[in-house]
Amino acid sequence: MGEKIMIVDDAAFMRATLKDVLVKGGYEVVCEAVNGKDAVDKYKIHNPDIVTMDITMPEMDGLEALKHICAADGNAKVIMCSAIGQQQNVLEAIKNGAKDFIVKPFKPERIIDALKKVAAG
Amino acid sequence: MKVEYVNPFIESASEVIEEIANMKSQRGQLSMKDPNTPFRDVCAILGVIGTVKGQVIYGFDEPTAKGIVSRMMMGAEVPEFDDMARSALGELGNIITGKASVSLETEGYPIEISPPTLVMAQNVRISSLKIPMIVVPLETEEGVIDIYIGLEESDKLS
Repeated sequence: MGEKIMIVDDAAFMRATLKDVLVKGGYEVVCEAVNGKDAVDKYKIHNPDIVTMDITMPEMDGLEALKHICAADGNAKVIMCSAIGQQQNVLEAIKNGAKDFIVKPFKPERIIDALKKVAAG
Repeated sequence: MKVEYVNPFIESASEVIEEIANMKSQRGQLSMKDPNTPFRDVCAILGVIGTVKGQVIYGFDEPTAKGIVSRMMMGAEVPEFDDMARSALGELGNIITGKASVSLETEGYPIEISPPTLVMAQNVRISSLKIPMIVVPLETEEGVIDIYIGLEESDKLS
């Protein structure tokens, strides 16, 4: 518990919803990023313990940001959190270092459960 | 347009609305959209590319849109359409389309979708839409949501 989280999503509504779930779950949201490029930049600054990463975003998508973050930090813990749960996306995310894949719409328990597992592993 | 492109959106919309806005919906009569009639006042537009391509648009009247956003935000009042409300409605379109894309992939039509664009205006006509659109009304407690689906196989367009 108490891990530092970075939320990456282009939708303000989704960032607010996720933040609410995470804060209630006892996590600290250290920063929010609005696209993949923003995420790569802020990861370096804030060095979060865990990242929740949307996929479909303008400028740089979440899969691309995942590759950059994992290349810069081999121990990065990134959980994909996307409406696009197509098999190919899930496989590509896991292949590129994502620790879990949550498909929206999500239940708060599913998010907390994923964070606990990723934090422990 | 093939009916197998349409059904995933209807099923997905119904499931997603029940899950994130906590209300049932009833599907109304399908029709072809008359290009000369305007869209509803609040529209979330998503582009589709892949084996099929085109646009999917979720159209709401303003009170319906506010009612749905309020439900998505645990009953918070939505007096005006601010950034958060627009974002919520765009995300609703994104999640419905994302879920439909999984069904389409299962049926052999893998697609990718663009981030949603929200248009709020009266008497909107979108002249770039060359693909005929099917309109599916979904009746909900907050009012009707029109799903406009204009998709064709990619090779017909390229």
